[in-house]
Amino acid sequence: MSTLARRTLLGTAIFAVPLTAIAFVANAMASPADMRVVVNFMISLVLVLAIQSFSGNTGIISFGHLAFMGVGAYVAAIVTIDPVLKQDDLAGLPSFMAEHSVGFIPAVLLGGLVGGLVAGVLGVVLTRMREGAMAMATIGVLVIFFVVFDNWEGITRGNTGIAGIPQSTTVFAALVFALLAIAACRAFCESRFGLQLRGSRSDPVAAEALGSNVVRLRWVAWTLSGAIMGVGGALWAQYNIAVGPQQFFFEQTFPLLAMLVVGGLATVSGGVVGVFVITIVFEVVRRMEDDIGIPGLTQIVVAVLILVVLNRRPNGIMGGLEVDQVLARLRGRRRVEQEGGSQ
Amino acid sequence: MMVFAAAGQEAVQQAINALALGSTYALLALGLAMVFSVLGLVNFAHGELVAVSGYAMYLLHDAGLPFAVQVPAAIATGAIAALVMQRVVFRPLRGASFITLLISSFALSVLVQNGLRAIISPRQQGVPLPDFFNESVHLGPYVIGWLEIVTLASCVIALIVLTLFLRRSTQGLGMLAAAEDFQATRLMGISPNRVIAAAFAISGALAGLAAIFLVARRGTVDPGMGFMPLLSAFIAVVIGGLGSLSGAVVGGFVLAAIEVTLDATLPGSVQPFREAFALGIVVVILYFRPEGLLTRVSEAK
Repeated sequence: MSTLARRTLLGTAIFAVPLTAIAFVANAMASPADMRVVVNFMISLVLVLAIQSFSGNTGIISFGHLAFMGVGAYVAAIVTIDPVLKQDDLAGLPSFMAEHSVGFIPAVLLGGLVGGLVAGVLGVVLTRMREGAMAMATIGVLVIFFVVFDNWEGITRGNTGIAGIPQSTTVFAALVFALLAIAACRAFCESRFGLQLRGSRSDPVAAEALGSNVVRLRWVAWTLSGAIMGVGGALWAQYNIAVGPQQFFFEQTFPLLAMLVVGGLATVSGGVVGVFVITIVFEVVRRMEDDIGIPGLTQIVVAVLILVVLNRRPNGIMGGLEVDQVLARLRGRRRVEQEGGSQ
Repeated sequence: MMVFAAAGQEAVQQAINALALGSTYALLALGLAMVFSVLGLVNFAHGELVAVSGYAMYLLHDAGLPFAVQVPAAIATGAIAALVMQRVVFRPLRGASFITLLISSFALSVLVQNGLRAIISPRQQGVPLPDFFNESVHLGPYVIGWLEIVTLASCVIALIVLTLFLRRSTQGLGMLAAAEDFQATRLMGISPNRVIAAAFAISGALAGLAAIFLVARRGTVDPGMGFMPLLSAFIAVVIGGLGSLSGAVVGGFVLAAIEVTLDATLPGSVQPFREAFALGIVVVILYFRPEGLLTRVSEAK
């Protein structure tokens, strides 16, 4: 088995065990409120790993990815809701879209496809920029899409948003897509593209000199991550059954980036760990917030958490390692200790 | 003839609006660029400096103090808040990566915004300004608001003072040198702490000045008020060339010119998409000049 396949399978399998357990336990005994947390946790895994597959490999942060989540979510909304509802609400749709609807899986795939297409087109311009300028320009991307979602009445219903999406994302469907996202992002990370990109992360000029076309590599990563983001958006829309422009703007960007940097931007495992930690912190503080009555307490706590983590561990909780690397190191250390003890 | 005269008059009027808007963007963009050039930090919390300065005006107004007190207080508050941010959050992160700094400032921005929400109120608060700002002067065929005149004049004065400081004083020259090459400047014996503190103080003071005009235009303050102006300043900085001080100022005026032109020319049905068109134009500019308008490719670090 190739290194790529071995690492991908191992890296995915280690997370598959606890995530599958969570899904089964939630399915057996969770209250509706807890179920929401679990399913949104799984969907957040897809979203955060989508961002990780670009930012982690290129070292360029993106504030614009929620635009692609929004594209995926709106696409899923438009293709799944009942044609009867569409005639009243979405008058601007072309007739073939207004008269037909599709099921869960085609909607998710369409979300990913359109998300990837949109990202691919924008990426042609964005990936030419220098690292810092590109990060800033992604903010512009987010604003452009917000303005479009907010005003394109005939297709997105503007500020009102689209409601009445069938709730098709089950906890197991979310689990499957979360695991697929982990596997896909890990495989990309270990692939030739990923290796070359991570080489270019520390020194783009040297990477160019060694024959990597950094702009093209970044474009590939950007487009792929846009597609995964679209899938995540489509899953999200089909669980939360209503979409609106505010859900794909700055306020929602903050928790996703928080998850990514707290866990560790550089690795897939960092993304997974970050989603887990921040989801728990969010839920605990949110429940306290209702009791204490301080508005915005959750945001304050998460902001302080980010500042403290970045101050103490600039590479996040995982410190730039994958979980299988951490386990291998622990095993190595134990072996050294045992051998040391036997002498 | 009448039609042409009217069109010309309209154009002049729009140009004045663009200059007033652009000068506010320029103040913010320049502050961002100063900090970026010495620290490599794109400061997301810059918008919160605007908000904090705005709230200083609100609190002083509430205490019954006149506008003449609110103005210097806003500028001082911006400068002090920037120094505090620098000392508490950014100094321990010296030498951290671009992303770490960026995300830290993002978190700081969320922290300050929600702090204002929790401590004062999530709602808008009114800050009525002197009636003077609502009046306008008739210069020949043109009607120009005092607000626009004062905004533009103050920004021009601020830019002149800052240029003199940067070019004539030792401290200022040290900062310009640091903006060019921070490491070399350190080797020349200029204290990095002083340069960085000065950059933050100036950027905060400029944000405080911008806050005065933003509050004057809106007549209110709210915790998220710094956000949209900050976005414009970000775009201005990118248009001008990240890290270039003069580029930031030029970028501010270019962005304002694009916005005002679109405002005047786009048909009503697509007006809501104005922001998207403006950013679309910016993206096209960046496609042809990925390093920004004022950075030559060979100079890019």
